Amino acid sequence: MALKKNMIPVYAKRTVAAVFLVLVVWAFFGGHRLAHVAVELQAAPAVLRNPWVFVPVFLIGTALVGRFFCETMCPLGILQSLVNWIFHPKNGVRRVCTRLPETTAQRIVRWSVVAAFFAFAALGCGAIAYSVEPYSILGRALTLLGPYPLVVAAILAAAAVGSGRIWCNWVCPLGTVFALVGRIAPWGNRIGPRCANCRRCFPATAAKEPARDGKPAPDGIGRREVLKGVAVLAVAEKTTDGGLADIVMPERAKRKRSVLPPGALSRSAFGRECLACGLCIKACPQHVLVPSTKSAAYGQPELDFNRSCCPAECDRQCAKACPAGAIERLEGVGRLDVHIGVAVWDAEKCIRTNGTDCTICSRKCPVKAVAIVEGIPVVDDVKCIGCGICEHFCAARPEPAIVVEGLDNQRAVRRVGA
Amino acid sequence: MTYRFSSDGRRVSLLGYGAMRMATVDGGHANSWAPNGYSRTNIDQELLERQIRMLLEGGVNYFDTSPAYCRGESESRLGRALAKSGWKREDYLVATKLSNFAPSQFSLDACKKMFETSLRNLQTDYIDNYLLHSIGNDGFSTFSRRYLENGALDWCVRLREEKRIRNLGFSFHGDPKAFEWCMEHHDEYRWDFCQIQMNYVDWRHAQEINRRNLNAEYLYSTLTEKRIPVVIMEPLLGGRLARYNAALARNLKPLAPNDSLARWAFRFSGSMPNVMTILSGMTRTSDIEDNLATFSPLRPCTESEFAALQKAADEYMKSDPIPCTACQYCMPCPFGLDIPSVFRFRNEFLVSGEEKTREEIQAAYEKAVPDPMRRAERCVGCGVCTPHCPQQIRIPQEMALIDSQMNDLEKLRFRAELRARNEEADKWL
Repeated sequence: MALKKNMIPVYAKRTVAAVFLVLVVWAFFGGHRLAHVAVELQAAPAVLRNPWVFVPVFLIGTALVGRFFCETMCPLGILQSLVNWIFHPKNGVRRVCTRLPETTAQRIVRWSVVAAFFAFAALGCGAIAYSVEPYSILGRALTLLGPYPLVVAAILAAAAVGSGRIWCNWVCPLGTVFALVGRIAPWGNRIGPRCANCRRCFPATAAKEPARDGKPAPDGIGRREVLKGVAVLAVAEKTTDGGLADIVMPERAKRKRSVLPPGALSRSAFGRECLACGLCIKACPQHVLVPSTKSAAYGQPELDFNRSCCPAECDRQCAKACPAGAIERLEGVGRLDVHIGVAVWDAEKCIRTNGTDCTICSRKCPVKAVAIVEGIPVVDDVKCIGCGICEHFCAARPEPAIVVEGLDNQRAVRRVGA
Repeated sequence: MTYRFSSDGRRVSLLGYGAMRMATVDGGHANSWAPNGYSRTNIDQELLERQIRMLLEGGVNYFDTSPAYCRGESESRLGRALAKSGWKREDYLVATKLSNFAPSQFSLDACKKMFETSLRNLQTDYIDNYLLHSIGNDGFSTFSRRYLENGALDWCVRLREEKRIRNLGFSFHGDPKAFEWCMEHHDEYRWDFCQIQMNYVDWRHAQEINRRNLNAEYLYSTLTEKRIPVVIMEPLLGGRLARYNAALARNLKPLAPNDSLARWAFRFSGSMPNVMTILSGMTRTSDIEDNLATFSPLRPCTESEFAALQKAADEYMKSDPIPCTACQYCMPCPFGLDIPSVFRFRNEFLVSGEEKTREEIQAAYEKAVPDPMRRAERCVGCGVCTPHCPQQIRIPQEMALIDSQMNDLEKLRFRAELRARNEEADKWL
């Protein structure tokens, strides 16, 4: 098969897109640092981490070559293109004609979403704002957060039946901004004077056309299997269970303030910066991070000490994973140096109050922050790092009697010389 | 089958059946772990009946139970199996106990009720051997409250006069004062037999395990002096002397490659002439086969074999085992711990002298106690179990030690996992 010269940029774009898609998905399944770089290059994380570099990069890039991000870097955009290509294999030609005329309805939807997006982001409700951010949506789907697997399925279904990346063109706030900027791109894809008005960009007519490069199209079933493969990958996480019936598992503690991952530091900044992509949740070796179900922080990580705890030995894999810098890496600061919460003991719930000589919170504390004084567990809140081991092992039922209250401002101690 | 004689002249098989470790239908047994954790409820009655018949046919005629065993099911299960065996009541001897451990059972009325329930459960109108159960558990004052102050002991003597029990004895664990008291008052109460823990490890090492223990050698010679027949319990230390152990295997296997370790232990106890019967909680049918072969007839140990056993015991003690015999008296733990399984794991995997990798140890723990909620880490240290332990193990302290050892291993594992993750992420760079 001769490589047609005018197809070279198309193949190049497809290759880059494939690489980005694979890397981003891989990052959620314990991927390499390279995979992580692909995540860090996603628009929202990159801009959150380093706006002074990445805002100009994305805007100038788009102003020059059009919506390169949506096509080659955004995993949700690439997935839509892939699905679109699988269902409409002969529409390859549409890649030349992406800029179809915008309808009024489309304009209204797009700009309302943009307005809402920036309004919520400005208000510090990152979790809500980024619920329409494409990388975050894919991450939430991959971590099986709430309805997101279905959301992605719907987006892909729209891409399968419709023309082009419906979601990018109708909803995505990044898509809208990039589309606006991309209008002036001198090297972008556009309907130019060379348009022969072939109308191949419309699927109904395109189907009747022979394949342009004479390459026989692989049959549809094979390609659907490709799609199935991707779908399986997305739900490949299993949950485990176990335990005997006569052990009463504790209920989740009702804490006033959730405990954030070590390195989140300020709760308000974290709320602003966290995309709720779920990468830290995937990365946590202790599986103690869970997506919050609170509306203002929906999908953002918090610690569930029923599952596990956040031990002193950890090198804070969550911080390494966070692409947006919402969980700060704080080089040289160990887990022991970050105080994420303080254990609070409640006499009414404690089994000691009923005369049981329980000392497990004191025994299990890795920093010896709980002492039993005159029969009463007393927490030294200077020592307590909020690891949650005491809460995890507390024998009181239904709720633990010692509960870690999260700090609104985590204390990170940077050791001199570290 | 080798036979000995009881105080009242009955022929007693040297091997007796201890109804404390009956097999369960889920593949577990009382002194071992089941796939689904710990279970004593689903006793395999059909298997039990077959095993009892097998034992009776093999010449075993002494069956020892207690109202406390197997969650209180042992007596009725054994009673049913014996009744269905087709053997006549006078062909075998039944031993059960006055197991009034709970303070609510300290009153004489409660004791009488317990005895009547035992008769009903065992489907009989007399008990051959009746025991004060584990005197010395939780100190002399508890012994006094259980049997002396309430008049239970005097009532037992009356039962013997009424022939509702044929022999009166006691089983001893714990506070030596209780044992000494019984010996001093032998003339008054005339003990027909006494049940003690004896095996080649406890023979000389019991006191070393726990200062409050009496060595079996001392107990045995005292009883022999008083001409009180001895019933042996824990001849295998709850299976610890039957399962593979490097020190035991090294010393005993070369002398008789075909003999099980259990056979050595039985031969040791059986060599003592004043031993009336040796109780074995045979769970598996293969245990029964092996034991019947050992006892038909029992070959007493020679001097050199005694020496070899003593050497094996000395070496075994160097591994500092927790003296748990998986008797389950500590169970159920109110916090769900599987205490005997944790201790068994500890004795097999957390002992010095044998090189084991961290992975091996952690995998063994997961297999031994599959549910993390039942492991040592969940011990709250309440100490409810401690007074119940006949071996006087300081269970919470041991649990804390095991937890800290396992915690250290877990830290190592966790650091290794982090290292591996970081290396994996940085590969090719």
